[in-house]
Amino acid sequence: MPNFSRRQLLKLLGQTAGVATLGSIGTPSWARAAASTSDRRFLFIICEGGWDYSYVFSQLFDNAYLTPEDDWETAEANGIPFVASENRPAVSTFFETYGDRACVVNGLEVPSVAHDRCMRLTLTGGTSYDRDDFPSIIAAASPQNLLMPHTILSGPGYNARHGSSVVRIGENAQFANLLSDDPFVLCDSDIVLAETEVEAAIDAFVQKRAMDIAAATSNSQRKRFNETYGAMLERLALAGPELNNIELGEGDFESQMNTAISLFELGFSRCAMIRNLGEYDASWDTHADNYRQNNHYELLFQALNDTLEALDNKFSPTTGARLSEETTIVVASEMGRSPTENDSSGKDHWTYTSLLLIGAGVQGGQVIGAFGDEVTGERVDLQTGELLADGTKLESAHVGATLMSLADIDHAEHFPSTDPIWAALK
Amino acid sequence: MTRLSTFILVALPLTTGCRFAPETPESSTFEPLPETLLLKRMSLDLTGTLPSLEALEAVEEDPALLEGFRDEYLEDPRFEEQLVFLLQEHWLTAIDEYFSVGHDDYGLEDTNEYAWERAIGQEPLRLMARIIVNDEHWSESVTAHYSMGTEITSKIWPMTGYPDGDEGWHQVEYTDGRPASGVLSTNGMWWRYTSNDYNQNRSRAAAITSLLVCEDLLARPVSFENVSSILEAEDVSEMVQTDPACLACHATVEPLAAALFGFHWVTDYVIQEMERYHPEREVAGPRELGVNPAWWGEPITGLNELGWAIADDERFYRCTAEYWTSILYRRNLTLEDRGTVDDHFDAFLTGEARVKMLIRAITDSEEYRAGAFKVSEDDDIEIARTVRTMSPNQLSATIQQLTDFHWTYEGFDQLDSDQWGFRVLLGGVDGDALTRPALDPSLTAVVVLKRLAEAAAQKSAAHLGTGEGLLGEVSLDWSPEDAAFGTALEALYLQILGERADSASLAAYTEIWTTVASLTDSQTAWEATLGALFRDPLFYSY
Repeated sequence: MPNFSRRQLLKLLGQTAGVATLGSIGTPSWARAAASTSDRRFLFIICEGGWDYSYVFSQLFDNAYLTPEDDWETAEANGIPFVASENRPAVSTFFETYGDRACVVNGLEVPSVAHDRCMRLTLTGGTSYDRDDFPSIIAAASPQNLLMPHTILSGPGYNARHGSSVVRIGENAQFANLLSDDPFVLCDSDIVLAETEVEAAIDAFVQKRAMDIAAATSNSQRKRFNETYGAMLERLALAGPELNNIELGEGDFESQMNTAISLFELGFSRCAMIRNLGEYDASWDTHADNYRQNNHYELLFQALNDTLEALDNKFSPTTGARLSEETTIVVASEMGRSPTENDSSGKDHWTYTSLLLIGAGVQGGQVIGAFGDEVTGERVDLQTGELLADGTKLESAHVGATLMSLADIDHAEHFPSTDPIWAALK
Repeated sequence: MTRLSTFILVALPLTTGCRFAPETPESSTFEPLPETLLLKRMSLDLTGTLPSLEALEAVEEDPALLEGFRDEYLEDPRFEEQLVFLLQEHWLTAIDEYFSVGHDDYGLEDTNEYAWERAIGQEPLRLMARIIVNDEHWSESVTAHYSMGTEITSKIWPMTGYPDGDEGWHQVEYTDGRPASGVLSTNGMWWRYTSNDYNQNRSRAAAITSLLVCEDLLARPVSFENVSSILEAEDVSEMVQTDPACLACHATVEPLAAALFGFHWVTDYVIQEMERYHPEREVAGPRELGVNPAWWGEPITGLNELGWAIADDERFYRCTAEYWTSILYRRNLTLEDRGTVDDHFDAFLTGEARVKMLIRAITDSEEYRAGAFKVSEDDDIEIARTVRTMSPNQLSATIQQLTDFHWTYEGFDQLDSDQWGFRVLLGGVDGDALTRPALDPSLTAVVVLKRLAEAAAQKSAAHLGTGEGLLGEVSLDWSPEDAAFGTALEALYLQILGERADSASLAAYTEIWTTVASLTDSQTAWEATLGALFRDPLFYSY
């Protein structure tokens, strides 16, 4: 394949004008009209492979089983104790600057040692194939008719009922290509684009056709299929030229974060998912050379710092508030790493991990849960967040219930036997 | 173990094993699809393409011809191609990336990247598809002495038997001493389901149990109840053979993993390691894992007997019936489906474990033929799918069938790839982050379909009036007032959507033609009409 980036591709085609700076973009009228205080946005970052929580989130220096690194130091900022290192300055910057917005959850159990199962657990709260992931549920519940309710820029997605709320834009933002002035740039054939009036006439015809079929049928599934199809075309028509204002990058983690922010700022998405694979996309799955977690964390927190700074300077299309006041960031990894190193200076899979919640609706400046002497999860009081011997063992379903509450969704509808981590909520 | 024992076992299935009690089918649940739409469903599912106009009209005239067309589809050359995509939904071997190994490691041009990726990932799928097409006993899929290769893999891997100067998929044999174990002896299988020095084939063992006997060991919860012993263990590998909590899965996993060490890579993800079987490493399995090879407690000598052990296991056939039911019903199965799966399993065995017989049984079933519910259901997605969404490969094949347009880019099939293509945007599975096809229309799918329709319609309209293609017999002089116009529109509608147009639909399509003609010209109006038909929800669903 050609080795030019999408950005270069656009330049080659003289389309850089279409990638507008966000400051020049107005709020879509259809989004502005539907402002709602309950419409909080969610950015999900999945550190794929299994992170080592002991590098940042939990000070386990005295733990008998843990293999520590020489450069680890105890630190505390904004009420959050964390593991600092001169080799991870961005981590310290994060907690010092944004710790009051951040809640660390430690000792979260993910009862599997297989990556795909753990990922499904982490994002759906269970292993069943008939569950939607948290962002899909939240996006589907949006009170607005969003163009791209849940946008997956990279990484996993699990859908049963809410697949139509999910938009995958492609590894190299191919979706944007299809919406651009030259949608056939990735095609060997020469295709001449139809005139605008013709294209609009066909779009309108197909949308009406779908709605007419939906109205005429008594078959519930046919009706739903056609209504969904028509609704998609309606969304596209409403978004119109605003589509060209999505900020595109080169597909790397930082640029995907910027794209997510632009989707929030444009009012296109309520949720976004980005996969983080660490330095050189080498994965967090450090069965060998666990020290690589150091650079993974440093780059991750650099990006988080940049993102939070950007969110502070962008504004909600619905309320005009700073985006940071309406955006919750969920940073997770599908599993943890074993406390002790193996023969290859790596660490293997562990069924307990950590989670970082940041931003809107989150009671920051605190750590909930802990790793015990055997590096398993301690039980907590969900109301206070304090450790409690006969309290609750934290699982991903608790995270799901917490996110439902943050999104103003009845958590009992999706997690009937699980309460939110109330202490994590403002 | 012999083929005879396998035959005896599968010929007497109902006397052994633990099976669900058959349930009485609820015959009043569904309204059946009209015959022409059922023909369309069968054609799309079995050939990936639409039925011919002649077939539609024949079935319209005589619905009894339907079964004959279904049987023809099972013998159609396109059936083998379609099987590859259907099998992919269960096996997930056709992925886009194989770690750090790339086509350039073999000195292949970038234009060969896609062909290289599919030559690897489709290898086990092509082998199974060939066995099904040849109507062979399904045990062949795990005991065959041959595999399938392309002009690429036959050159870069230790294979023989590929015809000189030919292209495409052909039967080949490996020359590196690997045992005859069908898909279990293919590189494509183990490049997808990998292991490493720490995992020591355990994940591959789990893949085998999940894919071949539908025993998903990874679905079982893992809880470190006895965590201190894990933390204090010198070697956790020893624990998995002694700790009761570990043994629940590892009693199966360890002996199975021990049979796979011919595929063990001493240095991870190096092509010289990955492309060859290493017979000399077979002995390392028992030594490294401390157990002898076995299949669920039944001792085997190694990979050479693993396929036969699986072929003698009734669960292998029931699992096949289960995943084919799921694939052709376009939904996940639940416990409530056990009776249905049992019925299909019985038909499979009665048909001497030929998958074609299984497919016949499934496509004969009431749920497969359902057009609607007699009583409207709620929107629970786990109920039967009376409306299905075309998959990326069905769209690709159908559009190519109708217009000759095939969306390619620099060697990539754009509807079957993800790096620059649109497979997952259209709801397909990438075998990695996405393992289940999308069931509903998505925003991205609607946009890809729009562009696909535009391109295909434009290519087809170029032949307008030339006697070739969909618009070959159309005249630019026709207007909606002409009888020939209505006849042509009606024929297009039937051929593309698979059903007769009602008067309202004909009026609507006449109107879009008129609207575009008033904006531009007659040629563009036909192109637009064709494009609209390709975007019609009745085309996209079946």
